[in-house]
Amino acid sequence: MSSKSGSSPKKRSLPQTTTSFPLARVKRIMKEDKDVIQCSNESVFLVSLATEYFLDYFAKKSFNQSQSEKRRTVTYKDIAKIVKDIDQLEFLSDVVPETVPLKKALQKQKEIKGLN
Amino acid sequence: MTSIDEFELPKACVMRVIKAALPDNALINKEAKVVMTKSATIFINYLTATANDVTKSTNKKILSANDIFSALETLEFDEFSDKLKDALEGRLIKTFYKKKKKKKKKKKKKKEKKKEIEIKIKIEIKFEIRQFH
Repeated sequence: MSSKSGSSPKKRSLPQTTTSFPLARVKRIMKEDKDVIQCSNESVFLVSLATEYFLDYFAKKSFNQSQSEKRRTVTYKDIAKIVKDIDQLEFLSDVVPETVPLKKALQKQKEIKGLN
Repeated sequence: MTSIDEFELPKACVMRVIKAALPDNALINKEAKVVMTKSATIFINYLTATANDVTKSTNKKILSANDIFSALETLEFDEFSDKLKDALEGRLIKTFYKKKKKKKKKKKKKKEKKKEIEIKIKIEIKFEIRQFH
């Protein structure tokens, strides 16, 4: 479909004009925010597509982390680590907190209770 | 009855995108799948809220495409902006042609139905005339 000419350095592929997510669902999630009065159809499309790009980025970073530990299975631990390390992903730090061994957690709880 | 799943993206769709991003031999464990689906939803919330701040700051009521682009810059995800702009352009052109086609099809269908009704009436009249003979 794309013509290969010697002079054009960039091979321009057709843009993706559809998204993998149901737009009605994306719109519902967007409107969950009571501050949002109305959103244009274009904005819903853009949010949906941006989320796809985000997931692509997120998945690749997670997998790189797994590979750095010689694994090919992405685990919660990998995701938690990249969320902690990458600034752009700070917004997910509450969703994907780093897990702490039970002993440590209980100890922390004791400390907090001791302070009160 | 609305379940909580309706406030998240369908897991199958999310996994499809993720599988396309990773090599064939990559695997994702169950927990990670849940987290990824949740993260996608949070991203939508985050992007929307940031864009909505832009909308409100310009005293508008409708969250527009430009607000999304501003938000992406704020969130440092503007690496997606170029591809998104192309996609939006492509989609607007597609929608424009789809609307044009729909109008043309509607007109054609109307004409055909009119003809169909005329033929039906002619047949009915012929039948009624026959009945009287």
